[in-house]
Amino acid sequence: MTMEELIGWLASDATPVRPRPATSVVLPAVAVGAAAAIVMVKLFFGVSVPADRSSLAAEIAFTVPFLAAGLAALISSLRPGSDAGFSRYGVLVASLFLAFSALDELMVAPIDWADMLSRVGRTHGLWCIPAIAVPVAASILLGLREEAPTHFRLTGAAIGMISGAIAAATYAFVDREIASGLLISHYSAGIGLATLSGFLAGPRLLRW
Amino acid sequence: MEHADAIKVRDVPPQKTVAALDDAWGNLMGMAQEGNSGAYHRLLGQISIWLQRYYSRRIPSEQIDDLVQETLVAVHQRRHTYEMDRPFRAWLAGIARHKAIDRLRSNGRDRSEPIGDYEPAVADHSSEVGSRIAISDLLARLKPAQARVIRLVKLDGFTIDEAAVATGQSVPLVKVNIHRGISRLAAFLQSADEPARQKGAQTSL
Repeated sequence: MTMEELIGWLASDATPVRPRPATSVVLPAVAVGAAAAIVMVKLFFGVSVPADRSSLAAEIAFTVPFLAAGLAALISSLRPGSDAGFSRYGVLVASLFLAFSALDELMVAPIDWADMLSRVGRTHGLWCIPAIAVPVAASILLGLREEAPTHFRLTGAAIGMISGAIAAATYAFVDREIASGLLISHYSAGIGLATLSGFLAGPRLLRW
Repeated sequence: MEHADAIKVRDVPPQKTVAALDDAWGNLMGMAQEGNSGAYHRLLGQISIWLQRYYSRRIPSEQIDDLVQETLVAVHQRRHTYEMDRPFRAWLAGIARHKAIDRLRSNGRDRSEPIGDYEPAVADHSSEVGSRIAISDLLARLKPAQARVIRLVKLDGFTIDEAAVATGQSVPLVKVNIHRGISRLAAFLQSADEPARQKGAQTSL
């Protein structure tokens, strides 16, 4: 096919399209994913609001900066040629904070690793937050299938961080008995694992 | 008057001519987004020249035309992501860079795959299973959109219109993807045959 033929065909297919800002694509997808996470928690984990509302608020507040960093990075990475700039470093800084806060807590609180890793009970394992993050990530990926990200690993990491943060926030409502001293490392591991999964899977899942 | 205008253009600082070009192309894309095929035709013609210059510094010369066409298709499929308050060239350069990296990566993958692996599958014409595997192997080398429409139209017997409905692509885009996909397969098969032909030529000498 010659260049002129191709240009002719493409020009003949110039149907009107409506440009939308990246926020109007991302936010509805995130909202649907959050709803899916809430349904999943209700169905498979059980929900209870603890008497001590301040600890619940603290757990949810812990996830907010990661949600914000992920959203900023994702929105800025969806348009070709846009400079992800500061938001790229926001994801990096948030990831480092996750790692250091978990390490800090673990150095202070003694932990039985064999017990923590082997728990396969419904509400206690380290796998819970990444599992809840899956439908959130799936919803965001579905919402972005017509978009044009060009930094696949950054976009994947941002999707992972958003999914992990929302999963951790909904997990705060699960009735479980994690020692309060291990909450940060538990949440950090969950959000961190989701972020890392997105970073690794981004080039495969986001290609267009 | 013309001489004065020519002097005026020469005196314009480079940053302003680039900005003017950005505005011109951005306006053309805005009109294309509204369905103006004439403006879109002009825009695609102008950016194809820019893309050829862009790729001439980055990829092997024999692949430039093909990559320019691939990029124009990508621009067409993602034209709704351009926002008029952003510079058009940055948007276009982002897509071009993405496609160049993709092409360089697939060039690297192609060199590392031994061509001999394909011979057993292609040689066994009597086995339907072997043929299906060979065809799947070949189609896996294409972009997903191209492989899908070729499979539907050429193998499963869909019409162009039916394939357009099944894939969500427009009819012209289905035709473009079939054309480009088959060209790509032909180029691959030609390069796969080249060592055997050279060996045959050496033996006969």
